[in-house]
Amino acid sequence: MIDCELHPLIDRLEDLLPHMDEATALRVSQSEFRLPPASPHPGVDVEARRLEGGTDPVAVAASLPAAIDRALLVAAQAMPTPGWLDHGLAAAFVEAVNRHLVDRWLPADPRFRLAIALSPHQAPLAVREIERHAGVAGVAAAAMPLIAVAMGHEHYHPVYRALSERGLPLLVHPGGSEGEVLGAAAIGGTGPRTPEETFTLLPQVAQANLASLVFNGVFELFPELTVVFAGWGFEWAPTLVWRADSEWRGLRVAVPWLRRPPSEVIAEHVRFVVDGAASALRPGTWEHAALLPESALVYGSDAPFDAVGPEERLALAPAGLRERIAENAVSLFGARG
Amino acid sequence: MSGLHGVGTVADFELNRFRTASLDGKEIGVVRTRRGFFAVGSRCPHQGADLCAGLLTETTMAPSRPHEYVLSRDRLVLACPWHRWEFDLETGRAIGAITRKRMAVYPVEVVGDDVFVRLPGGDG
Repeated sequence: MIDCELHPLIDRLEDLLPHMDEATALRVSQSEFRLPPASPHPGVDVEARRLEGGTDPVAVAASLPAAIDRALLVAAQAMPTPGWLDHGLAAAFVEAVNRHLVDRWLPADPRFRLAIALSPHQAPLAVREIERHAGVAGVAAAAMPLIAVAMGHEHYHPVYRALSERGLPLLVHPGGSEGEVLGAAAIGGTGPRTPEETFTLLPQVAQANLASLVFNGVFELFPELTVVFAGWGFEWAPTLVWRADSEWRGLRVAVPWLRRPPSEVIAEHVRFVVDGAASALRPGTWEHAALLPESALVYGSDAPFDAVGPEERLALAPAGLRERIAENAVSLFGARG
Repeated sequence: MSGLHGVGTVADFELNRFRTASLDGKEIGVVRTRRGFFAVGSRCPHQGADLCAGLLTETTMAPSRPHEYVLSRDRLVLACPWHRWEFDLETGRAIGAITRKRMAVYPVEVVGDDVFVRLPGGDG
């Protein structure tokens, strides 16, 4: 089984300074800049996890369940950049995070794979990051938070092109500022006032971006691209798929580039991680899962935040689907797995 | 009773306006267009709306690259008034492969000034 969402934690800003140019290192170390907490996960303290070994790659590797063959590292601390106004700094920061993970984490255990973090603000900077790391052994995907520009927009085309050409799937993960900070992905209605509203409504962001991807023809332009939604749950997906198919039939003239139902496009190009954001431990969740294509789901531990091994998280999954979930991840990463 | 059924004279048909007739227990819509006469089953295969109240056009959107719109003018298209499913007036096939369901279509024959719809199963 591949764990598609293991979060390596970075202990101190000082760990990243050697991976920045001198000017950036000086700037972040002598200003108000602070290493982001693991903010996508409320109530989780990086310091507490550090004490439990969440920042030590050797300890994390030792804690992997026996069933895990490989684990995709997704840097949660590189996800809060959507709210940053200094886009250059955001790019420099994720570059340092990636260099640190390549340097310290990938060599620590042969089961580790890395999703290189991208800053979503400026596509050329994200492309440069892809070019920088795509050839590194163990790099198997890219991970990006979402901003107020929906994923179907041309803004991202250079990123999709660069990923497609290199066979890297794109994992999108919450950054913690959705609906709260100008520039981050919006949450509908009048916007949340409480964290409870934010996290309850977080799937809206994924829904909006999934619809945007499909109806704006991203997968028609980039047929090699796969997008993985991690940290958004998946229970909401079947009804979105049904509605998308229904709207497509009636409004095809508005999206004539869609030559097949959205459900088919999603089955081929989109995956959802069964992680801590999914209510996998409730039997009813798997009734929803049965309404999705068998290709749709992959497993993620969400460790160290909500670490649940595959046996437990998938315990209520129907017979056969557990195996399919494992196979889906193997197919997802292909030769890079 | 199958075979040929008279549905009026040519002069009875206003251009691009359906006339309906009940033939052999079926509601049939017949229309005269610049490309000739056509006859269809009047009920949409989706949810049974009256297709003869739908929009008949000579254009629809051709498959294209994202955010490019290219008109197709190579067929007559009937759009259902309820959900805008489009069907090829000649073949009954759904435009854009949005469904495998087909609109029923029947051959029309014009003999002199008389218009006939041929229903399947008879030798006329």
